[in-house]
Amino acid sequence: MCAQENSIKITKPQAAQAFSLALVYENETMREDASLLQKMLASTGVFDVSCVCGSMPVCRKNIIDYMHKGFSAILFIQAHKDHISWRLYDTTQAEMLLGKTTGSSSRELTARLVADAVYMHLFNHESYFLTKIAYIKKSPTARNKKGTELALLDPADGTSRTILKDTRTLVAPQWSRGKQGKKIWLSVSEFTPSNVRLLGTDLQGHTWSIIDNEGTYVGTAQQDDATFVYVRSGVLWLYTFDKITKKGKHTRLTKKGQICGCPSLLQSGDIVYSCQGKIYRYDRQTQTNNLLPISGNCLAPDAHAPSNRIIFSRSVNGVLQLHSVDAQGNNLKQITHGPGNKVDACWSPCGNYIAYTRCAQNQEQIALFNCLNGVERILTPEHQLCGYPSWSASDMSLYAFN
Amino acid sequence: MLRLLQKKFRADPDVIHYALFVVTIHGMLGLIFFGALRENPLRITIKKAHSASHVRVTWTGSKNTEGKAYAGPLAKAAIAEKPIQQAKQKSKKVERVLKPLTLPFDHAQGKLAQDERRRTVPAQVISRFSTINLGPKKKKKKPVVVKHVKPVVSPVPIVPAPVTPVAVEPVEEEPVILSVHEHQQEQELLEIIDAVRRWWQPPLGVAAGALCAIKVKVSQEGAVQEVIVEQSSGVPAYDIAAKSALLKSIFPKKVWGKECVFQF
Repeated sequence: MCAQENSIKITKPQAAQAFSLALVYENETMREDASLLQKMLASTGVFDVSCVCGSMPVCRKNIIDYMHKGFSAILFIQAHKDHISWRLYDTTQAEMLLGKTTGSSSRELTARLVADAVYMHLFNHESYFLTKIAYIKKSPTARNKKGTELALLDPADGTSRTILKDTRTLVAPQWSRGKQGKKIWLSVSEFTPSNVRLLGTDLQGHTWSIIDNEGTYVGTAQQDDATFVYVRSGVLWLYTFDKITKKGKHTRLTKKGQICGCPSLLQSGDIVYSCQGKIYRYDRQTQTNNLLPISGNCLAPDAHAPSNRIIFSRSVNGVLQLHSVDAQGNNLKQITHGPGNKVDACWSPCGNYIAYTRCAQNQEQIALFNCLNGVERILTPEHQLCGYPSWSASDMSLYAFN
Repeated sequence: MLRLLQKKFRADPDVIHYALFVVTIHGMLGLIFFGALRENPLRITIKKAHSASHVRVTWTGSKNTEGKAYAGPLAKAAIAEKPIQQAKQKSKKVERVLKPLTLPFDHAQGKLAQDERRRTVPAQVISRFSTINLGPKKKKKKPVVVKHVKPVVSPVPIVPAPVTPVAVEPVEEEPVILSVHEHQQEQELLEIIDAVRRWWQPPLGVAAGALCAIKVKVSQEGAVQEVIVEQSSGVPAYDIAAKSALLKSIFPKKVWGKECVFQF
């Protein structure tokens, strides 16, 4: 009846489901690798992973049997001396989707690389397995109550590593977004007795001064090696470097007297920032500041360049909740609803997750919101005062120091 | 004329007058009766019910042809026929002007087009739009007949480009008239869609615009014998979930031993 006619369209149901994946390992020596991989994939909220100890498939029937058990795909892993060989199968047609051999310096990094490849192949967009969230951790000591640390947080399992300890106050870290292959580093603002200067730091904790002039330098954004946006004493500045003449140029973008902050860059190079409870967009072509049509008290925007979505905090019944809009300020959508203020939100590179500071009951914790299933996950312990999360791009070198 | 009648029937003129009067009165009454029958239409009204997928069908007409029914998407078209059948039994006059009637079906959306209209136009406009007048045809307005795309006679099933929904003018009051054959096809189509939708669970983390087309060969028992991805969405997880839904489905008898193309 229908073969000769048009195709039959099946409309999408309201609720989507996690992708069921069977993780099959050959022997008990692989259990640890399998559980590590399971933990990684399950943390995304996209997979429903079950570990199964079994043999490699011999015929199509072996694979189709997994479909009857309710699995959409199977990931077979085999351990070797210094690497893992793995194969991903589609159970519906019993065909291999992808097969590779992955090896690295550590077992954890190998698991991350496998998880990243599997996620990338099945969903055709990048994951967060090779990313880190930089944040500031307050570590008051008996001598110095202002001591702070710059730490890196693993979004998959919530483990953290301190890279910089400072007796002074550090705020607003930001990852450099230079060309791939170049050394990855962070910029962070440090309070000194005379100013707030901009420091640069690498992953080993080696620091250097980026700007150490009069004023307060808090809030930066970087598009590439030649474009750097920063806020000096509440005024937005753009630094551009001409590679031909090898000269840098500082351009003031906003008027003096206004208190601007939290600059972020869109795909087009336009700058989104907050100013006196409103969100503005600086158009670099017309060199004009445009107010985005969002009502209410808004602050701390962050733009996701690939999708041109902006996330920010907005007051709802006296509580700051996360909202998102498009680059024109339309399609306002409230993302979080629970108690406690949510501030300093930042996007994951894939745009499916949001890291932010959750302030409730005198506690400041880094939380992760999964936009796919709407689940919030607290990443830092209760007793620590944490804030200013900043999500890195996907880079293998981030896990080379573990 | 009076003299002619007097000569023919050899009757008193008063009797003739009386007879003519009686005949005239009866004639007028008859005309009024038939006129009323002609002018009293059978009205079918479709309104929103307790859920978006259900409608409430009510109808009123001459000779106690009235009632109401609730129906899900599968039975919508059947319910729409019910009042007409009732009207047929009650009145031969109505039967004469009856036409095969079903609700329009939107192949692109995979459901009845009424649903689309309900979303886009207010309730009062829907009920007005859905009212079906079975009285004599009005010459002033031509009925807008939305016909289905004729089936393309081709041995290979063709996956068309995404069909853009036909823009429906909510101000039009005329009904959508389809043939009985088309009506039956739509019902069968809804049964097939329902069989697949029961198992269709798209995976999380896939962009809203993902689309894939899958051809299946249905066995003589109603299960899927063969699955071929004709157009991939570009997201393997989405394609796998769609294939999985088809493989779990048990299809109605009409498609046993045939091939179908599904678009997810």
